[in-house]
Amino acid sequence: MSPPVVCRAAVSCPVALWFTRVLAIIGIAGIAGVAHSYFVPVSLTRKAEARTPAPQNTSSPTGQPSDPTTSPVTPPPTDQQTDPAPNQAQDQLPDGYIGLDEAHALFERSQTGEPIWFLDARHDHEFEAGHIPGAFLMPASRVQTSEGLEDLGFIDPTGTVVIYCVGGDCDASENTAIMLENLGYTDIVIMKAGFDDWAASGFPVEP
Amino acid sequence: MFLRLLESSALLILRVALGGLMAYAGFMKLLEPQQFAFALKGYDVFDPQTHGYLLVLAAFVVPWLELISGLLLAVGLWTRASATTIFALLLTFTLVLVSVLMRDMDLECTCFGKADVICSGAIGGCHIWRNSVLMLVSLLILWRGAGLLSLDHPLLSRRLKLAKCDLLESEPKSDPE
Repeated sequence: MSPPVVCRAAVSCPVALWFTRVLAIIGIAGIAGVAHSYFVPVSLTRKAEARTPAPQNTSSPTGQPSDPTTSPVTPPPTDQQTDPAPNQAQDQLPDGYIGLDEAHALFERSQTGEPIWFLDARHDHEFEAGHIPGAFLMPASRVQTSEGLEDLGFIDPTGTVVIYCVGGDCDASENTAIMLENLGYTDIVIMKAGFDDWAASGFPVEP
Repeated sequence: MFLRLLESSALLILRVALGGLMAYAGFMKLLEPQQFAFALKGYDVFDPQTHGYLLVLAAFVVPWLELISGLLLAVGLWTRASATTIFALLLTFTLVLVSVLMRDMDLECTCFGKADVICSGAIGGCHIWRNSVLMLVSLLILWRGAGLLSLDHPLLSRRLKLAKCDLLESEPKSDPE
């Protein structure tokens, strides 16, 4: 068929014209989207090397140095009999996650002035209803805002950051961790259990 | 005559409103593609470990599709094609929202980025109803056309196309030898 015949056929056949235009719109959007993605990095998973925090040779409150070959977040030995369950639970958790007892141990250490901070990745109304004492409200959407960056100014990028949300399948903590990794934070762990589990265990909370 | 004018005016208003809303939604998502990517991950349609590239692609392509088809619809250019695209987008969004509700997931829509339009808070019936109304509007435009003040004026576009066909016909054929 000669071009003029094809041309007239296309004009006379609105369905073909409509279909071609739909494909053109999708094609233009696809090209624009792919090009845009090259200029704006987006990540959905945490960096592998940042998942397991580097061992910290910090002294325990009893004065004995912690063993760097063990888990970096192993609670320091205390006079109280330790429950072997938390270590076993830690082995079952994926990289970058800690159990409730480990999180509580880090909380205790943070109260002594160690560079450990807690971030709450839940919604603001959930945070206001109750949160871990001293925790900053930091859902992923807040990280890049002026308020979020102001709060992050109080957190040493070389310190340990513990992130928590509602627990279970909640991925808000992981999203916040990804945003913090993009800002250069490397020592990030996520408390697998949620805030409700923390409060139910009798650990400190503040309104 | 009066009814035709009334219909054309109504179609104009609906076209501009729907096109503007979709363009706004796309623009707001394009401001923060990382947050939209997180929202897509939260819907749990694809595993980010194995199909993360699809989620990232969708995080960029979907907003551009909304923006382009919304602008085209607002100005009345390629009206039926852009209305079709918008209907397909809204249908997909609605099915995803319904699946979120059925799985009892507590998620925010992020349909307009950080802004809330008509519905706010976690995904619920309001979001389903809103999308359903917008789908009906897009179907109406698809059926009845662009209305007043559109760049798709049938007389103008058909004349231009036929003139182009005449131009092709009048071009001298190249001598194969």
